Amino acid sequence: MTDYGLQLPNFTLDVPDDGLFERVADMARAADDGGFRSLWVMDHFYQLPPLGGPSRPMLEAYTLLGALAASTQRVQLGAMVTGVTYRHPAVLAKQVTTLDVVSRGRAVLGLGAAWYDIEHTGYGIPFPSVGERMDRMEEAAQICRAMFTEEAPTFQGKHYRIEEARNVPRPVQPGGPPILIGGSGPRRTLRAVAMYADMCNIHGGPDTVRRSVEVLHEHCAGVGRDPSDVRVTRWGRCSWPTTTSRRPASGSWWRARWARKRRPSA
Amino acid sequence: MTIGPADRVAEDVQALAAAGVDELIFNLPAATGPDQVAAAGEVLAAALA
Repeated sequence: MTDYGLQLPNFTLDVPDDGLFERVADMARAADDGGFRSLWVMDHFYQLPPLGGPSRPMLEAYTLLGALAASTQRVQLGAMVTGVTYRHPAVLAKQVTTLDVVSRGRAVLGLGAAWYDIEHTGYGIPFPSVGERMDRMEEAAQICRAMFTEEAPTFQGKHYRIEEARNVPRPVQPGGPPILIGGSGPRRTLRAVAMYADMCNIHGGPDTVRRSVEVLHEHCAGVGRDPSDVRVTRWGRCSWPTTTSRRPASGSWWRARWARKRRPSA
Repeated sequence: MTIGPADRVAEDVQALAAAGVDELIFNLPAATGPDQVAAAGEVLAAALA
């Protein structure tokens, strides 16, 4: 049985700002009632170009998720995906744990290496090389896992360190919220999934997905992990209903973006 | 990108499910209210039943 989830990326919803959250909450409740297993928001500070760019509304992810946790009953809640550059991973672990408590065990930690350069520039957030961001993502996954599962973990990495970091109250979910690593990079990203994550999030059509799953299973074998332990999710845009198969203009922006940014090592 | 009438969407999601996906997560950029989310849920539930 394949489940389905929903990401809400667009906050240009034809309502005044003081009605914006209620509209988003109505959409979240529709997902909750409509059989969606999960509900995701983007972790960005600027809206993305296909949806109008930085001048369009964007709500901060974890503030919004906390409010949506109180507005829904069933759906899992997470950021698709949290940019590792935006928060110290210990703070992120605390936020996701709080989300798990507020939602009574429905939080998912979506984690990624971040990519949206202009919001880093705009907010004065360092935006290191993709290699360093990948390194940071791997360290962040280890820190969050430790803070979900250990009473007072200590971790010393190249980029982050924690020392007897307390995380009370503990997550509601046994073992803590599942960790999802986003991306389909065959060498580093999918290997990081095999090493540190409970879920992956890959892109592409059926043939690409099949290849990515094969690579993931190879990495799992390489680290001695049962591949059935990793839940495979796939992200994609969906325009429905329509009366035409013509792709909207935003599709070309995304294709160009990923063609330009894709790195073999990622 | 999964796009088109409901029957086309169903074909696409069934092919993705067969490729080994446990959960399909859809971004609905054009959705501006709960009715569109509910409609998408009906289509997806039927396609993946």
